[in-house]
Amino acid sequence: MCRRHRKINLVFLFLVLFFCVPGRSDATHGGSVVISSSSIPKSFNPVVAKETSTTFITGFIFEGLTATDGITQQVKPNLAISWNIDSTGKIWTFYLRKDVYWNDGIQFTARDVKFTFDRLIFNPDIPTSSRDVLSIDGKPIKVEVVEKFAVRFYLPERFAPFLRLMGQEILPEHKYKQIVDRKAFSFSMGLDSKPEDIVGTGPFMLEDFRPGEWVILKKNKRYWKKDSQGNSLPYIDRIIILTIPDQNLALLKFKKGELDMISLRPQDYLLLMKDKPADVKIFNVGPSLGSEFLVFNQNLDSSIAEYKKQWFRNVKFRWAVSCAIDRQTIIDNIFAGLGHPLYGPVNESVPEFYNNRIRKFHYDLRKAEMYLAEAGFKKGSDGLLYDRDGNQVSFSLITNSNNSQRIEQANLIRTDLEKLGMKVNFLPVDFNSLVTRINSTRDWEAVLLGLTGSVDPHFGKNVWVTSGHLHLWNPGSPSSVYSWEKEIDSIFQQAAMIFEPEKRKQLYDRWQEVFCENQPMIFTATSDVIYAVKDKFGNLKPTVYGGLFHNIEEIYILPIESGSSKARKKIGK
Amino acid sequence: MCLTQKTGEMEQILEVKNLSVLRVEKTESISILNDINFMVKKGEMFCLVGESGSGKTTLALSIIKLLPKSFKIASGEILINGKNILEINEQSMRNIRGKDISIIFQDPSAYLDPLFTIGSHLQESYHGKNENKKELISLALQEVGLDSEVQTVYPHQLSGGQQQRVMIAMALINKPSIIIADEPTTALDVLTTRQVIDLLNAIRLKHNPAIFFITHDLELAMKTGTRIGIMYRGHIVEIFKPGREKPSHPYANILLGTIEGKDTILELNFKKNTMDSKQMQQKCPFFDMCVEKEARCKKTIPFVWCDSETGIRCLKNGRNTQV
Amino acid sequence: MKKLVLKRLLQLIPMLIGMSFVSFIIIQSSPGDYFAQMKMNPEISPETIESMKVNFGLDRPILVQYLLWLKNMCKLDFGVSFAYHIPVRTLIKFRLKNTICLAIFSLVISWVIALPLAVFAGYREGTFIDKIFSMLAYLSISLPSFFVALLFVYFISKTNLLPLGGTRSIFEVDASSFALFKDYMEHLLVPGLVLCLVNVGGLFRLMKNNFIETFNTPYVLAAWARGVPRNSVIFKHALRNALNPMFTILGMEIGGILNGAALTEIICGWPGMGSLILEAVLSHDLYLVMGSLVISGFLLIVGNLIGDILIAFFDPRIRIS
Repeated sequence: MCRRHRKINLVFLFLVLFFCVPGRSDATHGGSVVISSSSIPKSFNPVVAKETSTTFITGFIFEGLTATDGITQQVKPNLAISWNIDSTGKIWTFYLRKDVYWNDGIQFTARDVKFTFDRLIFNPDIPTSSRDVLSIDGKPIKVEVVEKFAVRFYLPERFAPFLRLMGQEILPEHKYKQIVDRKAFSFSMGLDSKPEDIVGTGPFMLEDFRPGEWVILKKNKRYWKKDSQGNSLPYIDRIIILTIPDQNLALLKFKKGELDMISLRPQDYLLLMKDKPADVKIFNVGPSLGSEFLVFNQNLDSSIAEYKKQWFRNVKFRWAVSCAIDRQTIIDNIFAGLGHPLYGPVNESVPEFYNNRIRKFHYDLRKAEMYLAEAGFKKGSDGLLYDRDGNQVSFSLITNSNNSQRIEQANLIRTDLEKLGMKVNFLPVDFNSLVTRINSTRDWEAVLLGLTGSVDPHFGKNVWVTSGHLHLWNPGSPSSVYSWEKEIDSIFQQAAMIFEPEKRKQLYDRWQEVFCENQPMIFTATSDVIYAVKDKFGNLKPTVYGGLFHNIEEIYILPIESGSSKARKKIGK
Repeated sequence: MCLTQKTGEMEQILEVKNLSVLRVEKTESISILNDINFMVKKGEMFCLVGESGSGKTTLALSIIKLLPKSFKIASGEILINGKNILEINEQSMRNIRGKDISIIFQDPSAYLDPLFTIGSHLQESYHGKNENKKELISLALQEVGLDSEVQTVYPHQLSGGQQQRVMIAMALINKPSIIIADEPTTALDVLTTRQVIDLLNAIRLKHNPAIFFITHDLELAMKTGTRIGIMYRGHIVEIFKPGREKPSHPYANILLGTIEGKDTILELNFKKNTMDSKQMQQKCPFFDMCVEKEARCKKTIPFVWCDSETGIRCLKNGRNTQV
Repeated sequence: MKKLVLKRLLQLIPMLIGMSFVSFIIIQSSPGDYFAQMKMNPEISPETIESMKVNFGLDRPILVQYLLWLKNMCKLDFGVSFAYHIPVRTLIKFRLKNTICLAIFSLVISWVIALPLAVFAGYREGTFIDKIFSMLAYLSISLPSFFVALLFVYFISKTNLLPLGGTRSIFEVDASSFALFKDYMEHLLVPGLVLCLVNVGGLFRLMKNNFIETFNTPYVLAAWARGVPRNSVIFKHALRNALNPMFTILGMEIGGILNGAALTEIICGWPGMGSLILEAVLSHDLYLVMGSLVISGFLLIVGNLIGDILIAFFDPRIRIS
């Protein structure tokens, strides 16, 4: 064998190793997994429907050019083998796999990618939030087919998060073009579809469903990924997703053995530990990406009292509040001790961006009182707090009434702040009214809310930058803006355009420092992500970001003693 | 099972001896009927006259043993065709009702089931052999002067008079020995009353049942009955034959007086028409109202038979004045 | 009688219009809308939300929206659900069948249990057994339906007698249709029995009272007096008359199918109209709510109409006036 051939072979080997899933020699094919979903899947259309009940299922059926690794959180190639960026940084070319077929047998090509972007995402007739995420400064991305298996994107600006965004699901042109031409796509792929209407490249495909009861996914025999021995993936034959809106009922079913896996709330964890079935494994994978926080209305144009505005705009007031909140008690009471305190906008579950050197306002009542004194607040003889003009420090705190955990948290915070002499009027408000007050009328003083999180800080931009529509504490009014907010604006603008990860990290680290120094949002705590799983699976690697199923194609069922590895289960009774 | 008639007493279809009926209300027991004695013979029209609340209907219901739950027969005998029905069980009694003894009630619209046709009612009432059913029903309807087509009709579609005729048809379809008529004409107008009375008489003459006719109208009774009993506060105070003689009991006199248009000093107290058993023992039931009362009336006055058909419960006016 | 039916069906139209109009205004006037959740998502821009609103016609004035909806309704187009992105009619069709099965099942079972027991207890009024039944009936009446549902679900989950949640277990592909039917019925039993337990007490009391009342009527007395056999008196006269007022109740129960079962459906996990409507109302899914309301109102009127027809059919006093 001559040298050139050996080199090619080595490259080939490297590629094969890099892209194939390390398979285990004892991984068996077959079997089903039964899981539950608390909300009813509303649709199978990944473009139009973005709520978790839908994306949970479409995540098994559709794929993007890239994927975010569930463990490392790095972006890795998926439907695209490789890519390059031109010297301007605005033109990306992706080279696609040539061995991918849609689950109805047609081959996947660059035309499908162009179709997805031009005719679906950037189609004005189709209401989709993907458009927002993929538009940079409101400008769309131009897509061009270069060759059968190569596609080129023309971005209006350099955009670092773009690679991660290429996890966007690709849909087949041959299947959906006619529907789009008829302007019926927004209402297609819904619960009235037939399984063969849902065509993707992912490891699973739709087999059967009964709306409000279950969804059954069966393995996609044409799935392109193979394990290291060349065996087809996924190993599992079927995924059965039962709709069980009541979490208590789901736990009951799990205990009875009707479900294979369940995500546990803190109270569920305690209940389960009391009489844990022998063959159940518990995974506590760390703090969830969501966050809970307290915000004060710092907008000078709002309708609240002027003196209150002055309190909220005083950074030492906010420091004092942050120090006075007993985060551990919140964790103990609301998350049964299974949680982590939060001090900033990025969670330690995102190591790529987490800055541990932020200023943390640990629980310290003495410090809180000191900050208040420095800000001119004094406790009166009645034990209540007064500002330097003699106004009693009293304000209203609202949160949404349909979240009992948040209500409990608000009560705990109220008690904490009362120790400083503040009078907090807590009012649970119907969710819709809450949103109206925060977004439209802006008549609120303090609010306790939560957000789900993401890996790349850029995706939460609308919260952090002054022009964002969720910039809760200081929306849109130029006179209220602080200089540090302007600094954050500039950080986000720059960081979006820088590709070097270390430089980006530096910028976002600075953002976190500035943010935590000024405490516009006072973060409290987040719960841990806990899963309970029947001990019958191999290759199970749950993480906070990836959940239980980020590597679904390589999960397999351990062989049972009784023999047949293709055992099919009858569920129910 | 049919009651057999004992020889020698053929004439007496119904005989009531010393019947007392109480109504039990929690701890109290109130006397409704006290020491009732009378008999009705075959072919007779015995009219029982009394005001509302005197116990007439209770008496009628006692005879067919369909008293409401709170009523209790305290003592006495009721003989129908010689057999004391107070001693027989309910099943045997069911065989007698409708067959040997039938009853017509006051307000026919209430006593007919609104959901069933007349024909259905009649068929139900007939207790004989099936092969004769249709014919006999037609005959019964004919007798009461109703068209056979009435069988397909519902009770609410008939007038009061027609409804009463239906009741009568049902009463006689099994050719009973005795027909009890509890104020059958009270709810009807004068003309219809006349018709119903005539009808009853015609039946009596044709089939010869005993008819026990209850009414509050003495005038009517005098015109219709072959013998009249006067009832006051659960007691029979006099039995007499109209036409041949006038009644002698003071109460009867007052009733007559009102018919004849005389003034009466009597203010009848309608409210307290009942007395408990103890009070019963102490005096004549009419004592409080009587204009002819004497001191000796203040004790139990028995009913005294003057002859086989008439009698009176009064010390002053009894033929037998040994007391 | 045909006139009566026609008149009632015509009455349907103004009633439905009135009801739908009021509901529409109320829903649209309440704070917030379907998109509230989306507004709190940093990844969705207000512009996209606006375009979604325009897509659904929500940018027009309320009256115009209502009239458009009404126009579509005349073509039996119920509009599209915001949450499910498919026509409301399709969604309702899925769930309506389940609710109707549940309602009919519980209706039939509760009547079949309550009525004979009521006659039995009524005939033996005052006896020990009557007292027992009456006490049970009071229990059934006083317990709220969700409480009974929760207890029952707990009991079933502990004893494993019946499946909980959904309408079917997951079978092998080649299950026989009898097995499928049996499985459906097993799933129906839990919510069905809960509804029965809740309704049976009231029915029992009503029927028992009716029966006792008719048993003490003059015509029943007259029937005894005519020597009518005991069974005829009880079943032919007393029972038939006692049943009459129950037809009105039956009509009301048919009319109230959708609403009565909602809580039970939710707790027992039975996928019917109740849970659909609740979810739709809570999330402001406008056209789904309106569609469900129209169906509900329609059933109400038709149900009561059926009740009236039954009464007229079975009561000659009304039929032949």
